[in-house]
Amino acid sequence: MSNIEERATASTVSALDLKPPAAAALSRPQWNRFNRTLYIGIALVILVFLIAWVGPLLSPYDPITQDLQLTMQGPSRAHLLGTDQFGRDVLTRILYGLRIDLQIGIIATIYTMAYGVAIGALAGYYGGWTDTILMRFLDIFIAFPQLVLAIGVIAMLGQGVLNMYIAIGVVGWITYARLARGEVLVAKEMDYAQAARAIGARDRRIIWRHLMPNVLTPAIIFAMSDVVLNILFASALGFLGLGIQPPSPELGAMIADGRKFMLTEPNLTTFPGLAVVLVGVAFSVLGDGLADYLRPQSS
Amino acid sequence: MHPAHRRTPKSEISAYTVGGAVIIETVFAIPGLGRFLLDSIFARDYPVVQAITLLLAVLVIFVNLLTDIIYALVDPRVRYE
Repeated sequence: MSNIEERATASTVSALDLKPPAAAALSRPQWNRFNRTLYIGIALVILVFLIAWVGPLLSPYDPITQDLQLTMQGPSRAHLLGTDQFGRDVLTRILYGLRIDLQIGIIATIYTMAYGVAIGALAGYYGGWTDTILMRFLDIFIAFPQLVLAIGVIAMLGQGVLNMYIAIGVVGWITYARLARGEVLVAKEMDYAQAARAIGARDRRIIWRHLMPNVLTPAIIFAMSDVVLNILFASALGFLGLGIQPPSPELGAMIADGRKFMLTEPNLTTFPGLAVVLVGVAFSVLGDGLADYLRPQSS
Repeated sequence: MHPAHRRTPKSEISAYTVGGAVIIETVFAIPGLGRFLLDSIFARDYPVVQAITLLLAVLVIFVNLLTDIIYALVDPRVRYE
């Protein structure tokens, strides 16, 4: 705490220059601080992206075209991870599946974070009735088990990719709203926010310029694990037959397909599962690294 | 601190477990509520979908309530007005 105050007073050259300390840490990266977890995380995520976007270009096979003369092959030189019950190359399907799952994970995370943080920040900043209404609304969503609510939404709208995004959007914002509200409640009482108010900054400016950089830090860190959670969520929906539909190579759907042949052809379920694990580890390590990096005072 | 703000991981676990039950029941062909929920989606039996969703929500709320009550019993610092 004293550290923050020192830095705050040191940077206070004029009243207009008042900047929240964490925002300064965000905008001025400290590259001299060696952060192994962050670098490993970045490297792993880049590796996953390379596998997902370059990998399919190298594969000679199509993920959907069937070859019924080559069904259920074990790993061989032609098919490195074998083929499935329709003669499709498992490795190729995993590469395309990674692409689809990464898209789902990242797109879903971005939009749920956007309105989740916005709702939480508004509730925390204005307090009173705004807070009460928004938080009771949030309580309704907390009451439902997430997966059951998502299944309910899909039952209402029908199966399909867009409806799966909507279902994730309905349940995914809750944690962001709670995180952002808690952070704003603390941050709006801090000196820099009070100072901004004292010099006549409007609510919108205080929220966006002064509070957001602080509020976003925990949200961004959670977003890294949320990417994985959304991928698992999409995989679970695909597994239940409610998400991406069968011919598309989605990892969860592949695991569901291969489940019937688990004892005789374990490669159909093992390798898509390992691919999900790889994505999960990559983003978790990146999230850990970011947590250390964005919060210098915590280490 | 208001008890609702210290909602613990434990009460969230109940929600996750109920959600996970849907998948577990599918994998192991257990004829439970989750399996029933999925079957009624594919059969387009909307009243059943609504009923099960609501029932599971009530279950989770009930567990959350229990958690809060147990909190007050175990931790004397927590008081309910």
